[in-house]
Amino acid sequence: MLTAQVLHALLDAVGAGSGVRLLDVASGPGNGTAQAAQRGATAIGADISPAMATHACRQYPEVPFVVADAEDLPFGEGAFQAVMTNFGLLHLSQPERALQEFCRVLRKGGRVGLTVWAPPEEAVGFGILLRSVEAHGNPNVLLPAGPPFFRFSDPQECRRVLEEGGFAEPKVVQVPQTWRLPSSDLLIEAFLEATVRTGGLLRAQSVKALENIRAAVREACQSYEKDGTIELPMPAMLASARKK
Amino acid sequence: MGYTMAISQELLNILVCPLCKAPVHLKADQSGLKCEKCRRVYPIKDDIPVMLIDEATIEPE
Repeated sequence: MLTAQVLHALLDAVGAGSGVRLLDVASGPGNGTAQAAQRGATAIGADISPAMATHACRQYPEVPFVVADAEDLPFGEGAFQAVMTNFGLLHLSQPERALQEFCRVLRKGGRVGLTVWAPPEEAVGFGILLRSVEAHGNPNVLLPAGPPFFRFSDPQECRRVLEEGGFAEPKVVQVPQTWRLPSSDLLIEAFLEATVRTGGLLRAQSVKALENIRAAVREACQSYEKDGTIELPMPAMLASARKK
Repeated sequence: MGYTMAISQELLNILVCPLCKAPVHLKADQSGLKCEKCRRVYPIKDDIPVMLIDEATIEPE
């Protein structure tokens, strides 16, 4: 899974290890929570989707998962030494409120870590897709509420929001990731199936538009082909900070 | 029923009501977690606490 490539850097950034109680927000299928537990942390996963939490629980029965809203966390003040979210912030309508909650449940000196995508100029898969939708489809369809998708891809904005949320020493780094695809059509399929907002954007296109988008994606992918595999740079931005 | 001891004490110790942030306790029949302040009960489904304000029921006492 592409979003797993940055996971180890995220776990390092929050100091996931033994003696650390860690909350994984928007834990999805639970891979990040389980990796944190494997490093010795007392890890708990939280996801707003009951279906996701059930799925995670089945995959990792030894790891506790709860259904919870990142903006109204059901944990006491200072309950954790680490809070992380791997690509979770992108799906929240009120990310500042979630960061306030992260701060509340962290104890003083605790670490927060989050990942988002690098901007589409650098996260090439997004760039190709969004340019194709702009050229051949309707980029203005109604999507689930959320902040501008690449808002936190800007290190300055990321640091500002963390500082305002009660965190000190915010640090933002870019972590390289590569998306390897056997064919360009799979890029569209992956966005359709596995992503919330970009998938929504694609699902809202007409059949004809989608066909044209597919053709444009195919063409744009050609220059990234190496020995029959398409290799797209998809770097992540990793932000971390310490609770004051 | 499969509920028994599915939720660890460690988790119970740190869970609070997502609305008023007061402690919650496991109901005697283990069907949910009840807020000691606002009396909301958060259901436990498939051994997973569902700590969503909209999914809670309010008990009269």
